[in-house]
Amino acid sequence: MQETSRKTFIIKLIAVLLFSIVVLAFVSHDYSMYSTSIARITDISTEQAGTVQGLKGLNEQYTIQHITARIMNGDYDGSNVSITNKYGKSQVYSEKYQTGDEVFVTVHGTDGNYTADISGMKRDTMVVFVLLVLLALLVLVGGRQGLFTVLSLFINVILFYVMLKMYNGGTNLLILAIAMSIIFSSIVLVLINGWNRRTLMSLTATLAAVAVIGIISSALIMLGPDLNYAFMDYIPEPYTQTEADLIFISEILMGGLGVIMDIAVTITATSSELIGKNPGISRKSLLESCRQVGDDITGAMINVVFFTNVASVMPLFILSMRNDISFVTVMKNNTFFETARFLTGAIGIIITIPLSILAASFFIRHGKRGEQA
Amino acid sequence: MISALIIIYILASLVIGGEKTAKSLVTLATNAVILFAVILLTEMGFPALAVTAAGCVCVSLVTLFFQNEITVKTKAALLSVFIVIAVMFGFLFFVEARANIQGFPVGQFEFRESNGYSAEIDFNMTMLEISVMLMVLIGAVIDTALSVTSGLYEVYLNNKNLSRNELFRSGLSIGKNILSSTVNTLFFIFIAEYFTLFIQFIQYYTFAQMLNSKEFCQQVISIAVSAIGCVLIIPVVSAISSAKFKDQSFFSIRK
Repeated sequence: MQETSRKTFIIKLIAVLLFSIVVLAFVSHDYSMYSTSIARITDISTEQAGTVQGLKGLNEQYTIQHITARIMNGDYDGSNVSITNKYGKSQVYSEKYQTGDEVFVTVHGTDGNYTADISGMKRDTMVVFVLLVLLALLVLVGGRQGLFTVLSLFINVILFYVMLKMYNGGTNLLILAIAMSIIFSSIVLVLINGWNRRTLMSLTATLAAVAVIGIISSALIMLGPDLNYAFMDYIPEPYTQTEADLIFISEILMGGLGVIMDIAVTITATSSELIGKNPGISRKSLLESCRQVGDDITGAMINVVFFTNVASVMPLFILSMRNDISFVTVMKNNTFFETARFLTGAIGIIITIPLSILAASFFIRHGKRGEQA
Repeated sequence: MISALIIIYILASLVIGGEKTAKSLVTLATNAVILFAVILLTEMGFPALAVTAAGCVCVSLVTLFFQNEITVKTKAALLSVFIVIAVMFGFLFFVEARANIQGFPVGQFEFRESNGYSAEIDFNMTMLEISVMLMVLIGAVIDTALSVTSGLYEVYLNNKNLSRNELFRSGLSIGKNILSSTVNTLFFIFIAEYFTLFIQFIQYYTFAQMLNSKEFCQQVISIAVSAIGCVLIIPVVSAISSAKFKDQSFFSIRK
């Protein structure tokens, strides 16, 4: 028994490794799929370019890289180009390159004397590498469930793409976000538990909780003063206040969805277990047990939502504070949306617990009566 | 709006949640203070990675030992969190060195010299990017470790004759069951956080441009790394917990 499971593990490991190597080999040699010229850096010599004093009086060391690179595709395939790149030690906006890096370039000059400008780095291999590590681990550690997780992620990415396309085509974002919340959670929950009563309970609880945080945040947005969306990262310009409000509410709905599903699945699983073991269980003791379980997982879940939402603002704090913008100002302005999403997520976590218990006791009691009749 | 949300959050915790939910308010506040301290200390010039490592240790201690009390379960979880963080450190170094995802991408047009954000800050953004990825993953990794070890402890209590190997297997199977929810939680937070970015991608970028852009890579790599940490910790915490529950000593794992 143990022997066979070890064997299957090794077979899986080999399959996953082979698959990853093939994909990586393909992505790292996909030059011909790009129309932009790609150059692979073969040699770098550096030259100090002195220091520049910033607004706050800090000295920044600049370096010039004289890069020799070979073009990997297109019209200039195989020819050598020389590139100059200047970077600051901090690398806030500029980048330092290493031999072996691949960059997108625009080539100038005549035959034998090509120069080029870098327009960006070729990062696809690295992104694919990290994603492959994740997929490999999911399949190796998670087995069947891991495979389902990969599948649900894949479907969700496609749905998300469809949603963005429809938004771009002019569909109302809020309607899209609501429809997508329903579709997303149905797919994820069915893939986790299969199509049964328990899934229906989790789904009801999830959607109810998402609706509650949606209503709370919409009410606050409408009643409160207009929000300043200038501080929302990457907001597509130009935008109207209403458009931005809708984007923000959709973000809140989506952001809460995952964690709410997580809690709803745990609680409904516990309550159906309890009701299954003791069908005569009183509503009060059911409530008490589920509350206990909910209480145990809430703290850690809130932490997940906190760090995942908020930790990404660190570079912004550093850049701002080193430019004489105070900590408090950054917190008030730039972390507003992160904080709001975290808080709505946290509220979502807490209200999901009673909603799940409610859904569970309702569904199961009604189901039982139906069967008896 | 923030203050209204904070009030609703605190009220909900106190009214709906139980004792531990109320306690989690303190945990959260402490963790927020730790995050701020990490930011302030790094800004003052202390090495980002050392400060972040210390921050991660503090967050783990508070979340595990204060929120959940010092038990054999939380000790096992703590040890596994440390191991996974150490492994991720190496992985992140490699990824950051090859992907060049530090600093601010061109897509974040509000953070430019013209807006008063000068680039002359004499600060190592490369190390900071590694710190950010670690801070993003710490919460999720602790949560997974705790769920597996708690579940496994219940299994152990109910079947004390299970061998260490059997316990390890049951830890893996508990892990498998929560895997999907955890990965989905991360995924949805991720698409919510960068919703605006994706709208821009769909409007102005080709797929190839998106895939290679710094803004996309920063986010995707960061969230994928968190998920990797969560998957990785499942076998680690199962191994350590099963050893600890069986003979209360991790070091006998080698015997």
